[in-house]
Amino acid sequence: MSRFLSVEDPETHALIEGLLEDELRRPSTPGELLVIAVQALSLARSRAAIRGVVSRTARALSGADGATFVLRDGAYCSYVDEDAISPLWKGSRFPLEACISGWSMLNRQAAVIPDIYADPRIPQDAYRPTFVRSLVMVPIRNDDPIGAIGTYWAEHHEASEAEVRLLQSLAGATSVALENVGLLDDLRESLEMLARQNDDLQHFIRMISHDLKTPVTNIGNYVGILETCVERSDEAGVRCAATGIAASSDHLGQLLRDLSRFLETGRDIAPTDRFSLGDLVHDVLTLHGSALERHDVEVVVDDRSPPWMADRARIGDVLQSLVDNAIRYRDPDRPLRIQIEASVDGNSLRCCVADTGRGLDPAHRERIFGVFQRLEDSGEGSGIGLSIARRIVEAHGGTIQAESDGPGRGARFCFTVPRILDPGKS
Amino acid sequence: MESPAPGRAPTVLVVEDDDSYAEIVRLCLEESSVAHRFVYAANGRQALDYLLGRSAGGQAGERSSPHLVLLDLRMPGMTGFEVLQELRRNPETLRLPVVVLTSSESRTDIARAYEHHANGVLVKPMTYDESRALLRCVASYWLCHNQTPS
Repeated sequence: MSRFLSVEDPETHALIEGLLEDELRRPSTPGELLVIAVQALSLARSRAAIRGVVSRTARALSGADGATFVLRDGAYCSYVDEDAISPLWKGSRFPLEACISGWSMLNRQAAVIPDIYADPRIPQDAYRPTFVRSLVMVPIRNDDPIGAIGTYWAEHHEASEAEVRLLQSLAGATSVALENVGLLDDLRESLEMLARQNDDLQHFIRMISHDLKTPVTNIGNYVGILETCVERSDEAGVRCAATGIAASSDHLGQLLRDLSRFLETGRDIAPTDRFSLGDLVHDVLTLHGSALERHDVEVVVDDRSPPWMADRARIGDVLQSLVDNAIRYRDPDRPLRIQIEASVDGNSLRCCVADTGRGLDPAHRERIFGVFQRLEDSGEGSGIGLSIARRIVEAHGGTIQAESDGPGRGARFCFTVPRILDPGKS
Repeated sequence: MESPAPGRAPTVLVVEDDDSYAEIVRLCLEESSVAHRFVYAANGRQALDYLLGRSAGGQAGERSSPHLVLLDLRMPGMTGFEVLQELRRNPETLRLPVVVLTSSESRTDIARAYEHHANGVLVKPMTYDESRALLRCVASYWLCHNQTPS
């Protein structure tokens, strides 16, 4: 990622500090100081760098006893920085309605107060213990202010129009700087996400290439075998090779169909159905009716969850995959019992499908969700069911995990979806 | 026609989850005209049982020491890497000649195979002619010329 986007940028930080220090030390006009401050703010790549400039410049510009840099935090004003001999409010937070910075933000205008004890906007009790007598507060950004810059004096002070304008210019430059930093943060986050997605994609392509290569290799070889057998009039050999080609071709077709299914899933998931998970489980089990009967499977359902808000058909697919899995990987030495439970888990709804099947090596807990992974040779399917299930659950914003105490000890699959409260009631 | 050293025909163990491909290997080795005994394991577990003499299904296990193991990498359950790890951990199979035979041409996989102490890495050819040529070389080198530690 380019250096431009690094948050920790000590060189720029030092540069900004340096610029300001130099200017503050030499006798300069407010105008010159403002120019330097604006320059410094334009270089800022982080909120910390901005904080380093604002209060100090505001105080120097006005010759005040103290200056504050306030940012809006929802319904509160947060005094993020203060430049004074002994700061009064730095680090504090007040409701917007209870402070003058809040007033300035809510009313989108500057507050010029030569005597705080003569002004009804000031919460007098809060100021009585302080030495403050007058203050000026200007909002940062006029449409929908995001903060404020304030200056205060111990004596009665009549702030001139020019003085207020200087502060407003500083506020304007601060607004732009804050916006820049916000944009940089968003950009950084997007780039990180894209990098992750790119890695996932690369990995996916590598796996698919390999999985597709297998049947294609077989077909290539069997065609040669076929030709050889034809030359030798080896009928049995011809038939054998033809079978090999057909099998591999089917395999290839299945892989491509699964790939297509996998890509389609995760698109157009609409978590807009309200349904009882118990009912859905019942439907899924009915579909599996004959398989469950054939293998003499006992199923126990315990649904203690409230109605789910999700894509009913897709969650049905997930349940189907899990039940499928339980049947496919049953333990030949003991009866199969499947237990399906659902409950609330904090901000999510959770469903677990536990079985008394073959279980799996805990080291493979994650691998089984990989595309085209098969853990045991089950003879059927390409193992895409679980990776699709994960895709569905993750598209809902949930998670899915497998647990097992080891081979021969059964397995437990749990998935969650975030609990979406009925928009009808709020 | 090349012959292996006098004595019992050398054994080649092929470890491969795809039985269609294993059949291709069997045919190619047959065509190589080098006398040998072909043994097939469908997964890592079966291969280890055979090589380490672990009893499977109650039979008294006798350890078998083939002349050559042709090992696939990407198998369900135990991967080829895991099989290699297990073999090299065991003093009885530490020196067993194992050549990886895989579809994967990935540099990472190849490097990893050597890190797990494979004796060689071969990529499965996509045509029968190439497969025959390759396995003829393999049979000649490993079964006739290569000296085994035993």
